[in-house]
Amino acid sequence: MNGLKRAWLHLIRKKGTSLLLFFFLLIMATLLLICLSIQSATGTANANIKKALMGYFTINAKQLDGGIDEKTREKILEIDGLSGKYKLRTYSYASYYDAAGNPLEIDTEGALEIPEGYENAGKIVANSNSKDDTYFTEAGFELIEGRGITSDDKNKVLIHEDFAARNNLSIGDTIMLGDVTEKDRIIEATVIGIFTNTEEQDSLGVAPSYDLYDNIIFTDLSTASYLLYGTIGKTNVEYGDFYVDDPDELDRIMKEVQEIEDVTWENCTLTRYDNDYQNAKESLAGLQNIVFIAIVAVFLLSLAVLSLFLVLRLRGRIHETGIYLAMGISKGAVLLQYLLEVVIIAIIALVLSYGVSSAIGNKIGHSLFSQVTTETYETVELNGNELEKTNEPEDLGLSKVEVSVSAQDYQIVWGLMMGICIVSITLASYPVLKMKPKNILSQMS
Amino acid sequence: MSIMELKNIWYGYDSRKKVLKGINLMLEAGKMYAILGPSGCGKTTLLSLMGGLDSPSQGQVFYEGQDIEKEGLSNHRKKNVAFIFQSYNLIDYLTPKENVALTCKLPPGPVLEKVGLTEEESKRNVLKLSGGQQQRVAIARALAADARIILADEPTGNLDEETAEEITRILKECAHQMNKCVVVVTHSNELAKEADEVFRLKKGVLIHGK
Repeated sequence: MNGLKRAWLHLIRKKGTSLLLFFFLLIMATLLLICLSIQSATGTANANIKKALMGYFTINAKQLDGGIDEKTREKILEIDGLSGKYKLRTYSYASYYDAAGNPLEIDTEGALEIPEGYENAGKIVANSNSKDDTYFTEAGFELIEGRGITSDDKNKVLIHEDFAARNNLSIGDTIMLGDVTEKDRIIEATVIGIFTNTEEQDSLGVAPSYDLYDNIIFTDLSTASYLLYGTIGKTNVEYGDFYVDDPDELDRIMKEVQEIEDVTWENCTLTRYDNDYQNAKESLAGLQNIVFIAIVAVFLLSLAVLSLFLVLRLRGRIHETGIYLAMGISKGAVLLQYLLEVVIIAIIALVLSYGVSSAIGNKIGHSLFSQVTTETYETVELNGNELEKTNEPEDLGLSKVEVSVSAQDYQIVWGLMMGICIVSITLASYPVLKMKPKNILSQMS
Repeated sequence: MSIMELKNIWYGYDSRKKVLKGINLMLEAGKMYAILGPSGCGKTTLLSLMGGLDSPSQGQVFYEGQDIEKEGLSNHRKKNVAFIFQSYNLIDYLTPKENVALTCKLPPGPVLEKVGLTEEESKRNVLKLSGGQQQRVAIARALAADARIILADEPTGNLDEETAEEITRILKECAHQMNKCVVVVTHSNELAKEADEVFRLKKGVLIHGK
């Protein structure tokens, strides 16, 4: 009778210990498989977070003569690693006139002062897309009529509903914007939208007249460029936010930006914005560490418990070992039989663990990832970077991460389990097999 | 022509106390030998040395002129000798047939029949058999190994008189009809009487008694 048959007969006749070993190996394999699957899924999660919380850097060119011109922007966008997404902004002040050149009336109630030369002036805000401006995203501004300004617009404005009422303006009307200091720099613009503020201005009573919400006018970048820099046919801007594919590459990209020639970078300030990503990454790294520790713990615990279990099991089989040795069955063959017994059960446990892990791994993974999402979400809020209303925790893309058992993870678990079985059975058998057959038989009697 | 020869065998558990002191013995096929002696005199140790379960402190054991140490003790146990123990030493989760099949060089069925086990008994778990039946299975296992030497350690020690006689008869048959060399270590004078040659082990020395 060969070792395989002996092993099989032992398994089917000693059902109690076989079942106990089976359940233990099943739990062990399932835990290892779940941990490895979660570990693998964190890679996907990291990529999703990068996409959801895009890092970017801002160039503040307020002190730079002529601002950031188109040529510089093109060179920046050519740098490897930029996503192609960017936002441009310019802030200025302008005097407001009607189409006939008569000064328009501004709101002065609640203003700390009306500075000289600003009697009919207000703040000009230009953005690639007006809906992305912080007044709209954070200060409660809402477009109530018409449409917002986009990057394709030229000579277009959005005005406050109170400013419109005060000056009897409506969509389609033309107004004139003139530079406050250079009086001959005047540009015509058409009203394409009317907005209102849903939240009261915090700085009422301390802000000068031109900063009151009612007096703010949103315009396109081209119009703002003319007002601020006097450019015609070109669009220079004060601020640029440039988004990157991989926030971890920000340092390198910002360094390359500052190597672009013909720009006095000393007069610019570059600021990185990747806090959200770093927070999420930190939370994810925490999860990765926990999962790694869990893998090592499960592995070592499995090795220890299985070895102990087998030591006790083989101690109860000294009699049997002695009989085999007395019959001339070699120690190697006896060891192989004991190993086969464990391996046969391990194979069945491993096959079943695939289904069990697939069934519960995804649930555990989602629970862990949603915890990471919540942590990240809370950290982002604590940092003061309030998320947009749509930026719910699911938007980090972690809910879409599938914790599934990959072929590679399954192979690793097979390897680990077989390794654990071989090491455990060798450790457990060693004290028995190193004994002389006569000593074993003496113990038997 | 001797099948096994023990030459100047010494054995001790420590350097001072020797249980076997220069044993010389020649065994032949077709004979049943009995080794008698008080408890702890070294009978089982002598049997273990013949069977290659242990090695002597000094001296050599030859099987058909070959030193068993050189041949390999495991190999010697597998090919040349078969053991029968007082406590039967059967694998408890196997049936008699499977126990016999462990060492099977001969088909287990006829061998079990030869020692008096029915087909139905051969399929039961060994623990569900009586002591006598279990010892028959142990003998069958030794016979199925087709070894030329059968080493039996107190084979009737746990059996009633009637069963012991039956086992003794089978062992005698093994020697006389199957041309085996049967060595029996025993306390039983009844069993020793049936042996072709009797030795007494006293103070580490083997004395020929018949």
